Amino acid sequence: MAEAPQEWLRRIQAGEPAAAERLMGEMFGPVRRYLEGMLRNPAQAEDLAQEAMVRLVEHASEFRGEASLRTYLFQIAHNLALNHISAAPTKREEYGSEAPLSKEDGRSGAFETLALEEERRRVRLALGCLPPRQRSVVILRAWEELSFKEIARVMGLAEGTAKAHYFFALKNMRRAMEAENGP
Amino acid sequence: MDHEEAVKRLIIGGPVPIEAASHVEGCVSCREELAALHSTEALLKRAKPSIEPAQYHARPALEARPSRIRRRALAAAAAILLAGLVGGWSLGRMSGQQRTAAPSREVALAEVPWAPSSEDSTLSLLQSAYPVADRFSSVTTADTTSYMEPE
Repeated sequence: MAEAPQEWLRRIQAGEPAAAERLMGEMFGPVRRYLEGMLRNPAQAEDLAQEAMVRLVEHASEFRGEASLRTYLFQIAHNLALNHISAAPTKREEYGSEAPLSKEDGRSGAFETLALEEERRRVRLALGCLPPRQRSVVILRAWEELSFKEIARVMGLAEGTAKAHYFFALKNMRRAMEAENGP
Repeated sequence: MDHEEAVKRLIIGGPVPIEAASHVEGCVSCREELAALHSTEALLKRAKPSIEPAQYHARPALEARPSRIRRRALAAAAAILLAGLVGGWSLGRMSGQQRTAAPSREVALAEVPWAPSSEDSTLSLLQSAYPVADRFSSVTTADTTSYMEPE
């Protein structure tokens, strides 16, 4: 992303298809994955990811370049996710489908594939037990590899608070996975 | 430094205080806790869903949705168009009513089969069209006056 984000956004707003396509190519997948982890519903994640991309372009003038464009986009996605969760707090949906395993996973055997699927299932269940803010920190840190400083900016928290959320999220996930395995 | 704080310092990364490192080194429960959390973290990272190229199909949403300014302009244009249509329809309706309510004498006389001759007055035209008008034709000015100004 050598190009300045503001210039990139300006080109998108000007209607340059190549700029919009590049934005989608680089940003849509991670944002969708984050939202799917947060919402545990692939269809809603898809919708909100699109909404986040559109809002990024619409609010491009508000982007001052203090953070990276990626951080700014995750901030939009995070707010959308929290609004969605707070609007339907009792609606708990399981993952309908997971992104299929790709060759990138480096495990081609059927047994390994099944083992990875089982691991993913356990992680999804454990993630579902977390409060939204802890879930958000864990996904941004472990899957999207954001620094705690970036996570703090995305979530509007102090960096120390983001670190504490991460620590307690890991502890809660471990407890949830142990509880699922039984005594 | 308590157990939890020491483990937390080691989990979140960054510079670890000597105090925390030495505590965990000498504490079995902290080492077990740290190992378990590292294992959970590793599991979480392994379970990271891959991004499939097929997921990049949402671009039309960006292109299809007009900008806010364009949306407002479209809304304003739609409002003006609607106002014009309503105004035009109202004007057309009013002029239609005027034509119905007060047709020119020539047209009215020509169109109705019971039309009297052109010498007849409007009153006789009304009488022939609406029999009820006979009653009004028999009312004299005196009657009207007496009705309006009872003694």
